[in-house]
Amino acid sequence: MSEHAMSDSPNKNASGLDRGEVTDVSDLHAAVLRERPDPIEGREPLNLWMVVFVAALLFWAGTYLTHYSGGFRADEFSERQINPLPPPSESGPSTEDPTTKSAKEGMAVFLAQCSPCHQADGNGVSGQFPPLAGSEWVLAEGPNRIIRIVLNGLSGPIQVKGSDYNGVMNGFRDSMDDKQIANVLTYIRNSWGNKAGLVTPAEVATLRAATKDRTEAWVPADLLKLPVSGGDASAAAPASGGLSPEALKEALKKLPPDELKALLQGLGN
Amino acid sequence: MSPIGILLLFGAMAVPVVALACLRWAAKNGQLQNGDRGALLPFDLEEPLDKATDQILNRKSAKS
Amino acid sequence: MPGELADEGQRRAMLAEIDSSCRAPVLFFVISGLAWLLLGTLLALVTSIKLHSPGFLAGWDFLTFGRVRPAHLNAVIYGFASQTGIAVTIWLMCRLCRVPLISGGLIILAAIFWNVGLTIGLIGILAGDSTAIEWLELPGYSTPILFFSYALVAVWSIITFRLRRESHLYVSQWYLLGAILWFPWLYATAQIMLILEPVRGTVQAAINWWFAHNVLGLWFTPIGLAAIYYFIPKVIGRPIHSYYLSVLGFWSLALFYNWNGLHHLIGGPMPAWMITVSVVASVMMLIPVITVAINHHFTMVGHFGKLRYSPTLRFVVVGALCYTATSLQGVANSLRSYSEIVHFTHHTIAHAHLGLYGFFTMVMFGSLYYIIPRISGREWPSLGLISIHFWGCFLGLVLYVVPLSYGGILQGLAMNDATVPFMKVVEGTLPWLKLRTFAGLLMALGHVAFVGNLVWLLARVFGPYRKPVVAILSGTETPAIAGK
Repeated sequence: MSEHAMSDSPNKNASGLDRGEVTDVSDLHAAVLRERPDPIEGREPLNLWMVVFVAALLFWAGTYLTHYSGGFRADEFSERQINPLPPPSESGPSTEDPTTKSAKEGMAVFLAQCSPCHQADGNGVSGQFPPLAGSEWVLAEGPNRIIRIVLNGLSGPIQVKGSDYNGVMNGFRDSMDDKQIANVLTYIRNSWGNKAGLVTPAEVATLRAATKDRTEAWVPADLLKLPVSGGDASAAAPASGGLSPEALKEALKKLPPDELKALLQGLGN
Repeated sequence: MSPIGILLLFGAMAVPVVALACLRWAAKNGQLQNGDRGALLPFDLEEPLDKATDQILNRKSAKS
Repeated sequence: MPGELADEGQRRAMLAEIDSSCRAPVLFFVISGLAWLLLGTLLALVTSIKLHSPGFLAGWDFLTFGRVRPAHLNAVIYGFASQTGIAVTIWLMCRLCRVPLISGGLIILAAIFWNVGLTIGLIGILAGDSTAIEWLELPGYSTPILFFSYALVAVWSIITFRLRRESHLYVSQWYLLGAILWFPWLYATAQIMLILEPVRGTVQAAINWWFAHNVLGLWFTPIGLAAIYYFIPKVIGRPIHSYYLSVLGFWSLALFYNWNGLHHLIGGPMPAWMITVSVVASVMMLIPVITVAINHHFTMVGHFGKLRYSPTLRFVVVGALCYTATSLQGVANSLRSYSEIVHFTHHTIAHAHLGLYGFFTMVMFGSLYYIIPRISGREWPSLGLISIHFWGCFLGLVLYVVPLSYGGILQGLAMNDATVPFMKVVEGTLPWLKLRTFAGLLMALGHVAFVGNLVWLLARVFGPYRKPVVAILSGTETPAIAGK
C-alpha cells in the first residue's frame, strides 16, 4: 500500500468519486453552514440544576466528613466516634465528678478494646457476645468479679440476662494497667443506662496482686462462688452468692418454711 | 524516611500541583473558552459534520 | 472547520497519510491485544467452571484456582485492555493532533517488549510466582520490561502532542494525556511500595486498593471516555452536546478520582478518616459521571436510529450506558451501610465486569470497528460476524452482570445472618455461578466471531486485492457490489 492509501483506496461510491471527494466546494461547506446558525450545539452552557446538584453534593461531603472522620485522628478506627476525646495529658485538674471523669477516660479504652465484641452500644451480639448494658454481672454491687474477668478473661458457659452464652474472652492483665481497667469498668458500669458506681485503680491493683499467679481464664461457675464485692480469692463464698435475684427468689421459694425462717433470721443478725 | 519514600512523597505532592498547573495553562491558552471550536475538532473533510458515518450494517440499501 | 492548513486537498491527503502511517503499529497492538483476549477468555472460563465444579482440571497444579484467576486478570488487564487501549490512544492522538505517526518502529518495539514482558509474567504466575497482591500479581522480574515498554509509548505520545498541528485540544486529548501521565505514577508507586520496598502492615492494603481502584479510574476510564467523546459525535455527525460540560467532567475526574479506593476497606483496621474521605470522594464521582451521561445522552437524542446500522455506535453507546451504570453502582457500593452487605460477595465481581467489560471493552470493540477499516483500507468482510459479536457480548454481559449482582446481594444478606451456616451460603451461590459460566460462553462466542472477522479482513489486506463488501464509510451512498 502506498502512503496515500486512503485517498487511493478502492472505496468508490456510486458516482465514481473517491470516498470524501466532493465536486463542489460550496457543497462541501453546506453541511457546516447548515449547522453553524444553531447556537446550542457544542456550547450549551452549564445547566443551573447541575450547579445546584454540585453545590448540594459539596455540602453533603462536608457534613459527612465532619461527622464520620473520627476527628481525623490516626488512632481512631471507629467512624461513629463523633467528638474524639482530648489526649489525657491535656486534661488539667478538673472539678468533675470522679465517676464521670473516669468513665470519660474509659470510653476510649472501651471503643478500642471491648466494642468489637460487646459493640459500641454495649448490647453485645445475640448468641455470641453477651451484653454489658443491663447485665447483672456488671450491675452487681461490687466489681469483684468483673475486675477478675478483665484481668484473666473468661471461658465457658455463662448466663447473662436470661440468655446462655458460651464463648471465650481474653484477659488484659498484661496489656492494660490498673487505671485503664478501672476507667473502662467505670465506663461500662455507668453507660447505656447502667448505674453501678466507680471502680478505683486501687481495687484493681488489690485483685491483680491477689490473683497474680493465675494464668488461665475464669470459668463462670467458679466466679459465682466468689462474693460480688470486696474480698479476695481466699474469701469463702456463700452458696447463694452468684445467683441472679430471680434465681435467688426461686431458690428461696423451694426451701421448706422453717429453714427459710432460720435463714432470714441469720441474715437479719 | 528512605530516599525512595521521600521520592514517592514528592511524587504524590507533584501530581495535584501538575494538575493545577495544567488547568492554569489550559485557561491561559484559551482551551476552556472556545467551546465551539473544541466541539468541532473531530470533524474534517473526509468525515464531515452533519453526515453519519460507519453505517455499514445498512443491509437494506446494501441489497438494493 | 478546524485546522490550519489552507488547502483542502492537502488536508485530505494528510488524513489519509495519518491513517496509513498508523497501520503497522496500531495493528500490532490490536492483534496482540486480541490474542490475549482469547487467552484471557479461556482462562476466565476455566476459573468460572472451577467455582461451581471444583474438580474441573484439578489434576494440574498450574491450573489451580489460585493461579488461573490471577492469570485471567492479568491477561485481560495488561494483555487485552491495556494494549487495545494503547492502540486506540495512538490512533486518536495522531488524528486529533493532525500529525502522521512518527517513529512507528519505536511503537512496534514497545509492543514487542510489552508482549515479551507479559508472557514472562503470565508464565511466572502459572508457575506459582505470583506476588499474591491483587492487580499486581505479575512477578517482579517481568514488570520492569512492561514499564520500559510503557515509557516508550508515553514518551512517543508526549512528542506527538508537542508536534501537533492543531493548537486547540479536543476533550478526548485531555483524557488521553491524563491517562498517559497517571498510569506511570500509579504503577510505579504501587510497585515500589508493595514489591520493591514493601511498606508494613495495613498500609499495604491501603496502597493495594488505591492502585486497584485508580488503575480503573485513571487509566482505563479516561481512555474509554476519550473514545466515546470522539466516536459518538463522529459517527452521528453532530458535535458533542455541551463542550463546557465535558471540560467540567474531565477536571472533576482529575481532581477527585485519586482519593478513591480505600472505601474497599470499610470495616478494616484503617483510621476512620481515611475510609471516610474515600467514601466522600466516591460519592463526588457523581459529578463527572452525571456530566458525562447528560452530555452523551443529549448528543445522541434523535439519533438512536443510527444504532441499527453502525457497529461502532452500538458498542460505544452500550459502553457509555455501562459507564453510567457501573459508576452509580460503585457509588452505592462505597456507602458503609451497603458495603456491609455486598462486600466479599459476587456482587463486587459483577461490578468489576460491568466496568471493565461493559464499559471499557465494549468501547474498545466499537473503536476498533471504526479504526481498522480506516488504517487497513478494507471493509469488514462479514456483517453476520459483526452481529454475532455484538449480541454474544451484549447478552453475555447482561446475563453475567444482572444475575450475579442480585445473587451477590442475597449472598451478602445470608452471610450477615449468623443463623445461616456458611456452607448453606456457598450452596446458595451455585445457580448464579453456573449462569455466569453460560454468560462467559456467550462472550467467548462473540470474541471468536470478532477475531475471525479480523483475521478474514487481514487476510485480504495482505493477500491479493479483492473488492470490499460494502463501501459506505461516509454517508448514505449506495454500496458497492457484495462479494467478489
